[in-house]
Amino acid sequence: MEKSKTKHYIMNIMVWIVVILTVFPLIWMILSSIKQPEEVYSYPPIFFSKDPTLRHYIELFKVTNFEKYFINSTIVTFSTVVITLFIVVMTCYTITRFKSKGTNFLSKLYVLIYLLPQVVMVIPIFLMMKRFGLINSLYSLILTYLIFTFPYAFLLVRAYIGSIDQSMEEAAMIDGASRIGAFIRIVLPIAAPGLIATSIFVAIMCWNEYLFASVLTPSEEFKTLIVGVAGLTEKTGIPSWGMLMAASVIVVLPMIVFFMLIQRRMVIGLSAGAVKG
Amino acid sequence: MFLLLPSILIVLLLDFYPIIYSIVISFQKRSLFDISGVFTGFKNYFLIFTNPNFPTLLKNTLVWTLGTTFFEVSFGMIIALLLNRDFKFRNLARALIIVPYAVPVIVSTLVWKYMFNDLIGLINYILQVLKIASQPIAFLASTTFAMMVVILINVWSFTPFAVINTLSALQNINPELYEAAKLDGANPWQEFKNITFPSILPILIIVSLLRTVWNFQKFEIIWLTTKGGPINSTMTLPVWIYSQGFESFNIGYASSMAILMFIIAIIFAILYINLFERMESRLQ
Repeated sequence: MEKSKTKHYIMNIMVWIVVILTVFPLIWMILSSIKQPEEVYSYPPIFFSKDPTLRHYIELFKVTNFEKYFINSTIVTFSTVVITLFIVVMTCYTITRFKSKGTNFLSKLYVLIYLLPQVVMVIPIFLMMKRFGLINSLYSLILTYLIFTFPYAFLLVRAYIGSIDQSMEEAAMIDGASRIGAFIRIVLPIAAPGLIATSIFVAIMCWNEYLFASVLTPSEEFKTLIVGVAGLTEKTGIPSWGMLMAASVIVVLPMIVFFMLIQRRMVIGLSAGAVKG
Repeated sequence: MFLLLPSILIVLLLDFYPIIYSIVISFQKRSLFDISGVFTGFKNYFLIFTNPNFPTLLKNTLVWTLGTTFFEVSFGMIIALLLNRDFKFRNLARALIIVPYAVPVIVSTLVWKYMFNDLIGLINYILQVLKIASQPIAFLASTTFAMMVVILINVWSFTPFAVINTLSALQNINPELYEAAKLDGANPWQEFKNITFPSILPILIIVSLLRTVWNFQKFEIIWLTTKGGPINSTMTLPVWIYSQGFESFNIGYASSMAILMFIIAIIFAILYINLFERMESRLQ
């Protein structure tokens, strides 16, 4: 008994070591973002600023187009989530309710598409958007992001809608409800928590996207946060680490909030494609 | 059936058309800004195979893909085993361990680059205090260390994926199996070898394959950290395609490499889907 207690104790210590190592880069980021400029560059490095300051944050909004980037990212993320969800719910409902060889094939095809390399698409997509005159337009991003948000959301939502018992819908339809009525009153409320979790996962994906955003919206006015912040490091030869850490804090913050909101549903979102939901 | 139309349109317009377009461009000599290209047959493919850097590219891609996947899955398994017990603040520990998964790639690369800096970086300081290194190491300018740094950033970001999946598999193991093993006098190692590991093996294989597919095509971490340098030491296939296409504007050449990558990815994807279905039907 004594021995297993010690073992338990050692394992607990190991857990917290892992936790500290995992979270440390983020803590370092926050601590550095509120240091004085000379403290950011001091060697040996210091952990806690003697005189914490928000000057890097203020500078960030003054010197760069950070506000613009933030707004662009928000528009793209929000629009993509709404469109993805709308299309995916339609698709999944049809595929799970009208089973046939055709829908079965589509279902497989969408899973396959989830695994295709995006870097293969980036050149043709760029040329396509150029032809449509959509370079330097947020529309190009919203449209292109469907490449990865659609198959991902499809995997998640198919599991939610597929697991809903069809007999309730059928009963409602016998009672005179239309198919759409039955869908809205029975399927949607049951699937709602899953759909909200899916939206958040899709939002995280869009917010974090770099590949397509870096080529489709090169002009300052249409840059997303990720590309904008990446640009900050390129423009100035020697990056101002204080400002970059402040930018990082702001970029990561909404994601952490989203993440905490879906804590309990984490398993489902992370295991899309790996575990049947 | 018309409800399926939008999804079919997405696949045709955003997947099929680009892939076919890519195949066409791969047979052309074409710059990013040309309206059309000049047909040159298999010349781009020939150029790839005769490129003296091609073996390095393949080697780097292999090291990157297998290295990241191996560490993600093994750390993921160990951490999941640690978390799959009763202890105080278990939910908090779990939540904190998976946080990096939500951290945008620009943030993870910036923070790690700052910590790995040769002049002011915290890691160099720690190495010197611990007397592991006598001189500060310029990690990102070193052909030996740069690959390790980008692999580390990837492992930090995506181990949570393996943790969560392994954890859910662990929680599905029937507790009676352990009770029976206790009665038979099994020691912890035998329990692990005979019950735990076989039970989570299917999910470990699936996660490994899925991570292989994704890490193979992952480009942002390397691009934002080293751009493939120094001297191509972190140059993988996707990074090369991006830099050929959008820095050298040589899209014909880039596309032929993209098509080669696509073929490799499709083989892995089909392998994955088949394996996944077989395991699923065995579980049922």
